[in-house]
Amino acid sequence: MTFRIRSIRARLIFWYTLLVLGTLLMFGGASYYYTNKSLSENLDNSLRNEVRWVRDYIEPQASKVKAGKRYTEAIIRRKAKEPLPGIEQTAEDSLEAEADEVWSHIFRHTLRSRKKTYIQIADNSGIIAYRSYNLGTDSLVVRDSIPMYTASVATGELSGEPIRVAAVREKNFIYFVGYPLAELRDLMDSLYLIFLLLLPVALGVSIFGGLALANKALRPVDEITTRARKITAENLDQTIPPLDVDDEIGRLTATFNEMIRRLHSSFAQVKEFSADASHELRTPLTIIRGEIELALRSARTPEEYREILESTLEEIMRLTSIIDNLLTLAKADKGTYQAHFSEVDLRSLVEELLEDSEVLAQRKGIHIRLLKNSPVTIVGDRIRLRQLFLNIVDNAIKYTPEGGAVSLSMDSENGSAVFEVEDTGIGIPEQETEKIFNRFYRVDKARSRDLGGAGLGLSIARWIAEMHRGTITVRSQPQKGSTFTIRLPIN
Amino acid sequence: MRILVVEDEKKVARFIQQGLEEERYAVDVAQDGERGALMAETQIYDLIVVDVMLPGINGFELTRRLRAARVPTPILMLTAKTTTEDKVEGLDSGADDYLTKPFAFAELLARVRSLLRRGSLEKSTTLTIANLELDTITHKAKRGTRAIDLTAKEYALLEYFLRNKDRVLSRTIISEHIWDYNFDTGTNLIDVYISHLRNKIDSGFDRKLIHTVRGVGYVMREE
Repeated sequence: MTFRIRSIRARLIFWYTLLVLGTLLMFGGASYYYTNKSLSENLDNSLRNEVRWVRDYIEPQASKVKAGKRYTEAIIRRKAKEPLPGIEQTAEDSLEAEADEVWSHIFRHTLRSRKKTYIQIADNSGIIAYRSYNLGTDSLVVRDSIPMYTASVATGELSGEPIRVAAVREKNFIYFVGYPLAELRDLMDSLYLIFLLLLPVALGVSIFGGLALANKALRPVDEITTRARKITAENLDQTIPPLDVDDEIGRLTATFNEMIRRLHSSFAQVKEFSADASHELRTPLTIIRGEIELALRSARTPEEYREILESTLEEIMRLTSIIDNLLTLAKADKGTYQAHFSEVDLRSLVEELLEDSEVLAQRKGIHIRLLKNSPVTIVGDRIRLRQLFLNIVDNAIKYTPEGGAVSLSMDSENGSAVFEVEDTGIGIPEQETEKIFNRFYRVDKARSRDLGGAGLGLSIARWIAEMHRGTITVRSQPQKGSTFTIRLPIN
Repeated sequence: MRILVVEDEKKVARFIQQGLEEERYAVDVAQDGERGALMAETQIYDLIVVDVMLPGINGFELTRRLRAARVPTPILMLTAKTTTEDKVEGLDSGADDYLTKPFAFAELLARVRSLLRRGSLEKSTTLTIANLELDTITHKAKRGTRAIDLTAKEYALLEYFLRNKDRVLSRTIISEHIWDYNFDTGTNLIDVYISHLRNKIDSGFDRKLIHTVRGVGYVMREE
């Protein structure tokens, strides 16, 4: 096809109609051919039987009718109607009577067969000895030579009309039985006409039936299209009404809805994230603006100004840290972070970390203990690994009350480096242990803000662990403490 | 005028409280929604400032709860959420006004004044009775041509009287609107303040404005 049909419906109807048309033509052609063939054979057979019957009847009595006298139907008819009873019969008369009887038998026989069956009997010289009444003065002519003893059938002509003639040549006579072909032709013509009339009807039925079927089959698809078109980022909570059937459309709908649901949840996550980010960024800005504006409304003492400057500086530091963390996560999300992988001696990294941790812990009087520091080396990004460990330790210090303890240990186990941070802090309720790695998620918002957290440290920690094909998990008992475990594969 | 601030960010709550107090309002702060609801339901406030993102019940729920409990106090909503949906939800939950963070402090004060005016018939920023005038923006008062110097509490008391002209105000009602949560009603502090105020606005004038209603309280009216 040089053009494309843009609708499945039209394509379906096109192919459907083509198929129906092909089937009809094949069926019509075949039935026309076989009907014609079988009717012709029937006719030929019956003509053959007829000619044989005539021959079998006449030939044994040939001597009786070989008088050379021509018998016409009219004479036979007359004689049959007026049997002339009581008249003395001469020898010739008796011979004639015998012949009469033979022809009469044939005549009676023709009365029982179909009206248009023509019978003609000619002697070997070609002189017609008998012709059935319906022939009138015409005679059956066969162009081909007529074989001896075997009935053959051929098409001849009678008064310009084609006729089927069975003929057989015997010792005494040539027998002909004919039947006009017109009847067969008429039958075949009407069959042809019926097919011709039926074809457009069938085509119409197939087109409209096909259209109805295609509509029925494709309406759900159109509905899905309409519904799907209406679904935008704003109303992803809508779904396509599911069909309770496990067919192609049902599965398509289910697949669509599943996709919409996933989109919805990912959009919701993005929305929640930006709302959280907006809140986290706006709060320090609100404080900075509010405090400064308030300070400017009237004269303050130097101590008051100092307090305000310190407070706003604190908020600026918080903003900086949130923005740094957000940028890190943005890079992580976009996959544009350029990791610098090299051999990292985790033992020395932990030693370095211990110093930083002690500084952080000192202010709160928290005791830092290094339980174990096995020599482990992995391939990784040293700066990020340091950030990962520090985030976890910092988190532990933040949520451990004054006078508590944070224990660190580095070990290798089943081909992985295992870094554990255990604290005696406030712990995490069990149902929240998974959520704490979500961005901006904080178990206790008010408390976290006082501690300077924005809820991004653990998200970054998890990203770094995953970047090293590792995992980070937490076990916790509220009011007793938490243990964070980082596992990083050594290879 | 007594204002309740429901805000969990301590520093935000602190500067709002300080700023409002400098404007002669009595201010109480609630750190979470549950406590805010409890205070709003049991105390009398002239205005409630509510942050939307609160631990426990959020600002929308808090507002709905107060409106369901038929607390008519004007509510000003503060939020870091800036989408239209949030504003619509805020106002539909029963809030009277909506301010997004970070906000200009002057705007917060203007909205507070606007909401406080809303309940009274007086729509001007200047409250008057006879020849006494009180400017609610500059906090300056004068009677006739004489300027009157007022302390913060005296100003608050006068503003409250002016907003409730011809209404007899009991000592309890006065304490509830002028002093914050920590005020001890057992003292005669109100009477002391009222006598100070009388000295400043009524002495030297024939037409007295503050009248004592024996056994009940005080009323401000033109005789």
